[in-house]
Amino acid sequence: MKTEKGNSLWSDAWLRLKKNRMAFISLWLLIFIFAICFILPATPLIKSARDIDLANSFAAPSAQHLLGTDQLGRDLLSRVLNGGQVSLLVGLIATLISIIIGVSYGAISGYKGGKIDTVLMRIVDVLYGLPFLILVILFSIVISTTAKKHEPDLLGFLGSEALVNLIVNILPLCLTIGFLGWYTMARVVRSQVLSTKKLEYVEAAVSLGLTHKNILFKQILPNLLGPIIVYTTLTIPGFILTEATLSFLGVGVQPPNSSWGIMLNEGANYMETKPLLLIFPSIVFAVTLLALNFLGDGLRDALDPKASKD
Amino acid sequence: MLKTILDRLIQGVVVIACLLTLTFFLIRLIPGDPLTDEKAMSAQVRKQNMKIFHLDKSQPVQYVYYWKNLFAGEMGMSSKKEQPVSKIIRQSFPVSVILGVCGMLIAIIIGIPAGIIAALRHNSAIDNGAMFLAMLGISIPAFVLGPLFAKFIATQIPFLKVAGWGDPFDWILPSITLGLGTAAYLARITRAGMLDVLSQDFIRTAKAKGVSQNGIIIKHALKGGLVPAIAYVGPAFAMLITGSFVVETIFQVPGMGQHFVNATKDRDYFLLQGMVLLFGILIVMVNLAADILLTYLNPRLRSE
Repeated sequence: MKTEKGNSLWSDAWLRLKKNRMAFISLWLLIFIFAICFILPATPLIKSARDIDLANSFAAPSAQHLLGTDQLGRDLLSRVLNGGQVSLLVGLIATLISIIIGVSYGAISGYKGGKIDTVLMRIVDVLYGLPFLILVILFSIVISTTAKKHEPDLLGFLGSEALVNLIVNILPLCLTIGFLGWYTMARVVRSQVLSTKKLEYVEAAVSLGLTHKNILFKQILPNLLGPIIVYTTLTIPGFILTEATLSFLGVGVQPPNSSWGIMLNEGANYMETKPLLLIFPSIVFAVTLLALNFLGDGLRDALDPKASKD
Repeated sequence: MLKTILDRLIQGVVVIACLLTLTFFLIRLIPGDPLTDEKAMSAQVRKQNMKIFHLDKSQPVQYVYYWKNLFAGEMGMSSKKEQPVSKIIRQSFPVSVILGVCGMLIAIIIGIPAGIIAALRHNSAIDNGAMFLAMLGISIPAFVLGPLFAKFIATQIPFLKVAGWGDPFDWILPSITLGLGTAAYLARITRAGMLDVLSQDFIRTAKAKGVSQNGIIIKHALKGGLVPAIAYVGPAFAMLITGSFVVETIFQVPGMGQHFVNATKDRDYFLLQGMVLLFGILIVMVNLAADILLTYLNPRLRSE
């Protein structure tokens, strides 16, 4: 006997996403951007982003340097790709941190309800009122200067310079942004848990005597994956933007490390004479953010048809 | 209604107190102090600050003196600029307010009508075009737009300058750069709010009764449809104010953002605390104003 295969939420969502042309193009574009940022620099096709060649600064695009060179004679293409690695990495790790905190906080608040919920959400209200960028700047400086103080110890302990560089220069940014950016996720998850926990299947789980931990994390949360995924996709571009803003202001990623924010800052300095230095990173940066935002919007329409306003 | 406002006011005070406390201890967690810097605090500045803030005492004691002096209106001396913090604020605060208000006005003037028109012409070319532009506005940050504006617009129009803050013409480019991103968010939120209201039963009833299209929009749809957009004005202003750090850097605007960023880098404790206090007050006030407007527009909130 042949059983009819039902449509899951995910296969329906995939179908709806495929119909949304902008979102689908964005998805492929993002896969492409990630691939060239993370794979291409590892191949011999691309020159090192740190090879300084002062005799060859501000070179025009050529077969040797596809996008030309910057003020220190470094290959612009490899700098864009390397900077992309840092920007994307910071966006992803910070988002991961904020999701872990936001989902657990919101889930516990919504599930417990009552006084605990009131207090927890009151705390979020106050935190929400604090200016995000001001705190991010303060925290990131505190964490990164503290990490720098211990740089020699870390180097002795870990041995690898690249790893220490990651911990001292990149990780503090991810931590700061992630630890300060979870409030909206907590609110989203809380309101979803509040309405989900009243459903009958949760009542059934309670009457079966399952533990609270099991009910919350195994029964309720998997049903909230949709909103969580949607909000995650919309958070990543926001955090990439935050990193770039910090680097632009000179309080984020520090040279010789590069990121899109740093390249935009440097490009702005030379825009009068060498506009390409500003224009290339601008295009890549804007296209990446645009694609992430379109994908997020498309996913929302696909996973949560009720919320979409079409 | 009074209870809601009072509640929000108390919350605002708590927010400012938290912000100041966090700033006070965070800046002191950064290794070193204004004295260990290469541009050390001069003896005179140190003497002044010492007299009122007791820098030789422990941090908790300094913290108590900080609050005591704050209530007396004393904010100390900037160690880098060698000027009283209150004087620096008097010079830079009006600039930041002008920039913030102009940016917000541009965001509202562009964003809200665009959102309303997009909702009324739902799924048309105008709607799709406006929403694509809004997506561009969200994805292209001020530090990409600003330099491009400076290069391609300021050099073309005679009365616009690439940088500076002399006459009101200089307000134009920084305000536009600052406001466009927020305009994009506002357009999306306004459109969603309007679509939500327009699909409700009472609008259909009004249509069936023969109320004209304009009458429906002005009398019935706008009041409810704009609620989400107005609710967003508070957070949007906070975003604008901190976004001004970037715009001030690009166009060399002498506002508070510059002082904030530099004070953090220089560990200029008193200047930083002063700036954060003013930013906090600004943001809390705008949030409060938006809340009052919301309770006025939304009867459901009033009866609570």
